[in-house]
Amino acid sequence: MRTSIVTTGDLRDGLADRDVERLLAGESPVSQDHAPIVSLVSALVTFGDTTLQETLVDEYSKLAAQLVRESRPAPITETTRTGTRHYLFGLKRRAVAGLTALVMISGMTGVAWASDGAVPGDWNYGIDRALESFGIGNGGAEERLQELAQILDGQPSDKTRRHAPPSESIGDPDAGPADAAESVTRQGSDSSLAVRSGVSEILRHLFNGEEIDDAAIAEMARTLAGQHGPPEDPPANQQASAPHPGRPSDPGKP
Amino acid sequence: MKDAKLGDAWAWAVIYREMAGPVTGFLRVRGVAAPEDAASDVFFEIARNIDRFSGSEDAFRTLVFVIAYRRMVQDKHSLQPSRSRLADRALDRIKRDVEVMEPVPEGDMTEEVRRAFETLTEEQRDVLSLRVVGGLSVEQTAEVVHRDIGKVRSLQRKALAKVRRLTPAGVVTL
Repeated sequence: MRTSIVTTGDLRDGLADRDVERLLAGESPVSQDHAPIVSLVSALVTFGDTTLQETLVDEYSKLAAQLVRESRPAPITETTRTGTRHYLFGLKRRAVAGLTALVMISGMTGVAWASDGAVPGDWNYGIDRALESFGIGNGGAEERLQELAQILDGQPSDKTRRHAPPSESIGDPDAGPADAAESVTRQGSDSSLAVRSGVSEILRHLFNGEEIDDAAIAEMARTLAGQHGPPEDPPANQQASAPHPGRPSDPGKP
Repeated sequence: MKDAKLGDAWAWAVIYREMAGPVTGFLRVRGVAAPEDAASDVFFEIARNIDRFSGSEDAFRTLVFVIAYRRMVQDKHSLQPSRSRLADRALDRIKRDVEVMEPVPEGDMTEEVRRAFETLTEEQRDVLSLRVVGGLSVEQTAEVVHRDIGKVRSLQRKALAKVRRLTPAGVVTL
């Protein structure tokens, strides 16, 4: 069975933009095929046509004007004084806040800068190390060596000076070994007096300014060890509670 | 426009006369219930935001239809339009005072033409309504429906082609 397609119009969908504009404007059709389009456009125009009532126009216009006036922000001139006062107050508050922030930042920066050159014993040495842990002014081993050199160069820190004995009590530097020998004899309990006397004698021989006689020193040490025997190992609990090297020993303990 | 921004009622009367007809017509063609009320919503929203607008008359017309288009979308999704208390009270008073409303002519849209229009897609109907009833250009229409100009041209061309095929003169018979 053969099927035939009969059309009365142009099946092409393509319409030139110029033709479309003319049809939408309600102009006369370019061809008879466009008549349905003209009918639709005409119907839309008619359907959408609206007759305005003058009463409504008047009412809506007044209402719209009222809405505009109510929505409009208040003019600046009416609040000039208040606005100026608020502005100045805000300005002062901002200035104070800014100054405070500046002082705080300057202070912190100054402390950090001053702490960078601190040596062990200074009050701000802890700050220096703390800042270094954050990577600020971190001189590493080189800075540690500089600090050591500064101490050895005779620039004691405040703490060092505070803990040092008065200069008049230091006496003759050459008398140091003799003072040490006497100090060993003076301190300690009676039970260890013989040992301390022996050590004191050895020290005097070592620092008497003459040539050191190794054989004599060795003999003295052997004599001292022979009198008191080899040192016994301290019990475990005494090892754990051994006195700190920097602290003075308890009296009575050898 | 300057007087309208200052709250001059006369300036707003001019704007309303110019815009209310096309806006109401567009809303009616697009099937919005109570298009006159919807058009008044559009009008009042423009009044509330006129301070922010600066531009030409064409830009103002585009803005009006942008708001009208949004109002139409709200209506289709059954969303309550935003309206100030003042506008609510005024509308109630207007409806109470104006007891006899002149019937709005609904035009001559035959069943045949209506069916042809309903076969179009929503976008095609939006574009044809804005262009024919709203009187907008292709560029203005593109701005209202958030499409590029080429897409708007394509939509209107396809819409007209479909109308031409569906009407009796172009019926395909086997």
